[in-house]
Amino acid sequence: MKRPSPRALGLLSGGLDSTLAAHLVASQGVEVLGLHFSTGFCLADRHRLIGNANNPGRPYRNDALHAGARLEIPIEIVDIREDYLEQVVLRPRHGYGTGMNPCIDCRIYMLGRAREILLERDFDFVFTGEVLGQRPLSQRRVPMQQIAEESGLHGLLLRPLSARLMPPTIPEQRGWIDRDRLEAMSGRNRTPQIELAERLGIVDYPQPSGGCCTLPDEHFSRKLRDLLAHDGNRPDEDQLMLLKIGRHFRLSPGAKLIVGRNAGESDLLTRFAEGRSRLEVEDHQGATTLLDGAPSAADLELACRIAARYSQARDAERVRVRWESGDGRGSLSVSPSLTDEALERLRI
Amino acid sequence: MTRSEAASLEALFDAPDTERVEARGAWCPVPLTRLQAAVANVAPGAVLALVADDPVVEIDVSAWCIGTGHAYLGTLRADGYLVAMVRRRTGA
Repeated sequence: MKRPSPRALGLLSGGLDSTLAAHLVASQGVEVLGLHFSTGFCLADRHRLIGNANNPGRPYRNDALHAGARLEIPIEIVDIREDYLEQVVLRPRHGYGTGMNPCIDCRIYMLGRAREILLERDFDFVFTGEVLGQRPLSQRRVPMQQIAEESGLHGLLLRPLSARLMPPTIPEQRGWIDRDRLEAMSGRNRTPQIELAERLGIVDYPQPSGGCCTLPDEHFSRKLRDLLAHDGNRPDEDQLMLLKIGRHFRLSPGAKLIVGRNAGESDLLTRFAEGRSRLEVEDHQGATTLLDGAPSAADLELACRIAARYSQARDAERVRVRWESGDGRGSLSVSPSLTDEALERLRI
Repeated sequence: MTRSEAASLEALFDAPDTERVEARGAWCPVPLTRLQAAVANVAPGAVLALVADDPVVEIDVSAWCIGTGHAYLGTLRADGYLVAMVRRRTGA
């Protein structure tokens, strides 16, 4: 029996562009399933674990689920964290951007996974919220064509926000989608998207734009490179999450220190204390501090000094710092005196 | 949620047919991906209880249900964890 309407898979981050794209497709009578890929490198994961600082007690929402609820389209969360690290982040065939962001490989991988779902579950095409010329690496005309080809989707990949600037795709050629009701957006100027959102009554979308991926961030990338260099190429979930939290210091090849930057991070760090040493400054308030790896006695002393340096005892001559791990506990009397330059040399 | 609504939800949670989905100790996306997988394996109309300690579960499950058409029944708060209750939709 013929299906009453075409069926499309949309890559939905929950940002404005993918929300608009989903609206443009769904409003043409196409049945839409939104796919939200969880890579493990989204900064929102950290915000969601810490909580909503501006609205205590109100959790930080998942923008893709929120967009799905707004548009009344189902969202499927696809957990790609393990494969994504192995197959995309560590082995990009098309190289990295400014940080460890393999944007072209990322799109090819996600769209390839979408293609598998399309074939398995009898969908007709895939769409994304990509805008021609918006991002330097993956959203130029040639890479966008390359991504369509290498993902195996070819003409089954529709970019509704820039569709009228690109050759017609199969959904347009077959009349599943009216090309005239799609957009011709290009470039980095967000005004057309904001105006379209206003016309469609979409007001509650995340700001700023640009996605929540941590991989383009130079500082995050430095921490990831350090982790891969010292802990091998198979970091676990906790190690990756910890990269998004606190100040990181490389004390030696075998030891790394993480210091919470605020109360939210300190609370969160306590959840990752198992298997690590937790340091606490006696009689003074300080940030939660975790010592990771196999620290030597010298590493432990340096860690205690740094913990003291980031506590209210920073100006004291000596201060006692307690440490506790699965193997035991103890304390050291240390001097918090460390110059900014000395700290900077250790900072990852 | 009124006291009587909470009592009804607790009774539903204790019902033998309710499918429990354990996700304590896991954070996003795991609780929701476990719920997704479990929903796919129960009959239409069946009730599922997602047990998790990730505080975003309540807001995530309620939003997910609006999009998917499953019924969000509410969230129970216990000591250190949440139970988000869902009834699988009866349509296709």
